Amino acid sequence: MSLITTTIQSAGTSLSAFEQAINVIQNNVNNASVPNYTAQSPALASSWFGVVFQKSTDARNDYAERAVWDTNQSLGMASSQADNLSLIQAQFDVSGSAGVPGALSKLYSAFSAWSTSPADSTARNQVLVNAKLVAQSFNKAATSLEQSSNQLDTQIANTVGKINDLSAQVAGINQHIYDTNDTNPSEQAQLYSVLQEFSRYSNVAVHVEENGTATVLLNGQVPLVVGNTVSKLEVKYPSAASPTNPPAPPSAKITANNGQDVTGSALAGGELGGLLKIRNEVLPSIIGSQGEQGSLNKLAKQVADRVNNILTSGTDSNGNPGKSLFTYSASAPTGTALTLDVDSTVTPDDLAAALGGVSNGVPNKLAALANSSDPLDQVDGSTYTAFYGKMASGIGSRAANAAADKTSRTDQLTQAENLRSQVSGISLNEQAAMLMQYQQAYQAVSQMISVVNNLTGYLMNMVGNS
Amino acid sequence: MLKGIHSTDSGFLVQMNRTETRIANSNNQITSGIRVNQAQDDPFAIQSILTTQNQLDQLTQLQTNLNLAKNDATYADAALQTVSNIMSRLVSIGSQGASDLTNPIARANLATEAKQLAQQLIGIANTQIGTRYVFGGDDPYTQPYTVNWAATPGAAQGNTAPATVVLRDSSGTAQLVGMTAKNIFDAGGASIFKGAYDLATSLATGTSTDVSTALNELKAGVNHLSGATVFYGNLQSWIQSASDQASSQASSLTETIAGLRDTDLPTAITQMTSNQVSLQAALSAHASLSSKTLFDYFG
Repeated sequence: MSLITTTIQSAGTSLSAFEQAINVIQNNVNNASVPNYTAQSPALASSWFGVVFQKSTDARNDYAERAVWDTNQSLGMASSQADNLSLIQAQFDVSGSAGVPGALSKLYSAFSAWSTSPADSTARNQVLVNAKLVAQSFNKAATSLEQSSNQLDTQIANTVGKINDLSAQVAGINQHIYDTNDTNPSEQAQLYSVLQEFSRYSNVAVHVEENGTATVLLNGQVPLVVGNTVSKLEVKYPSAASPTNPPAPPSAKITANNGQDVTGSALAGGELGGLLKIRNEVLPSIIGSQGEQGSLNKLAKQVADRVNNILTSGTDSNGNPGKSLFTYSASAPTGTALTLDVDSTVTPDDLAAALGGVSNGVPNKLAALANSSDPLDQVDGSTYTAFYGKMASGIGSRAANAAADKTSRTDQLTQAENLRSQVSGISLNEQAAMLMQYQQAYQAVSQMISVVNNLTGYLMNMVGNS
Repeated sequence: MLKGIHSTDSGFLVQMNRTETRIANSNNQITSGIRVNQAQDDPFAIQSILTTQNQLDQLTQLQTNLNLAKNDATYADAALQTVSNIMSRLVSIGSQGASDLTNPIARANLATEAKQLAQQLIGIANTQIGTRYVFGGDDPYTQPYTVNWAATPGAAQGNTAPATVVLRDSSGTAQLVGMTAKNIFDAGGASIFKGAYDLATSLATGTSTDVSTALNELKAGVNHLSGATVFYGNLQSWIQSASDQASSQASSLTETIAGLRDTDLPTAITQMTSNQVSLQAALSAHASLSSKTLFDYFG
């Protein structure tokens, strides 16, 4: 009898193990579409009291996960750059008939028309009108680009906020793992989803402990999450140590919890890195910063100074020296484009046309600015229009490269995710096959119990009859 | 996360969006006719497009300037032709008046005609186009001369401005675009005004010798006038040459900018068609993927 009893007990244990295995399959099928939920495999073992269910094994592959994170960081950086550069480049006219190049062209034409009739008041007035258009075009360009810079500041703040939120989520999951002293597949799926999102925003290095908790470091150096402790990042705008242009807006800096400047680490990747690159490097090269004048301001200053120089070298109809036409704030080199204007006290009669004994020498010289090869009429060896073209071309190149990079990284991320799903994902066909296997085993053991039960009843009958 | 055929759905969506974006870009290029709408469309062409467009704009303005100068030169040339005719008549009058055979009444008539012609010359010196005096020099809004028959040369100068306005062609070559009334009509030693005035007054009250002297002055004036006529003739030729040069350059630049900026329609249409075919094929292929699993065959 004892062997029969043992057999029934052993069968019962096995049925329980198969039930748990089927439960694992069920969870796999239920969570097949959940992002980052990896296939769990029931681990069964044989013992003297039957088949026992051990802890299920996770198909998650660390290499595949890190490949996704690395690619996601690169994609985040490329995306933020591509998206923002696309908006910035739209502020540069490439037709030649609008914006700064269009206004300059109209001004040159006004100078040329003036040259045919140096004494004509209508022609002189047109010079003033078109000079005002040039000033306004520079103002508008500078204002638009400054607005882009402000929008980037907002995006940076939002991204840092998002990073801090994700840090809090990871810390919360870590705390739950500490509290329960256990980790379940759903919780791990949630953790890895957060980590994948984390990788999009910044260049993070992740170490997953044996207990399932995650340690997150910015660029592998700056702690963001250690256990249940969060170290928040902040955005600050400290003035440069020795600024060349003190009134200009300072660069954006990312600081750690302890006040340490971690901007360098933040620049290494992710959306935050892309945003900082544009905010602290690309835009300042155009609109200036505390360390540089910016090409747009350089161009505005050169146009204004050269036109004024030529005008003041001439004489008006009364023999008086000509007056300067353009004004700008000389105390703020990075504000030249923004503050460029036409002197409101200058009248058409104040425009001096005569130069070197030629009554239209000044307008001729001004009109020649359009295509002059004289270094005095150029900026860094280029005409004013060509210099603007270089600026637009530079931004266009960056935008095109960023767009191509975004495309490439998107493809790489898709490949990495596909690889991960091939390695760690849930195949419904495999789960169905395993379900059939455990179903057959369960049925066999159940049948065994039935047979043993019948034998027991037969023996009992034999004992009773005797 | 799923493993299997449909694990690649996200990649399929990415590629489909990309193809649709390419189709939209091609369509935009075809409908607008412009290939370079923003800097990233062709960064290397931007500088050339802007400088070429600027050159085109300046050539357009140059053509306007040349047309104005041509108009002025045409007026001036016509005026000088009239002056030439008047001078011929004055010389004829002078020849008649210098003869001792001319009776006093006839001399008086000749004197009257000479005076009228002399004052007509002053009027031609004040030829206007609108409010501008063609022979006003650097100050085209001030009348060059007024009649002053009380003193030689019969006209008072009202505009002393020189003529220094130069026009430059597309290669930068400069050309004076006018002469002053002073230089044409009242040049020292060859004053047309003085010759005509002296002829009229000598016919009225002078001797034959005086008339002969005036006649010689007139002949000197005619020689001087031919110089002015040559100037304006050369100016018109220069203007025409500059205009032709500017037109030729403008045509070349227009072609250049079209090559840089405008859509290559056959290429764009081919690309769009190709992308549309790819999109249809991808949609059709993806739709044909089986969505069944082993679970679907369980009894």
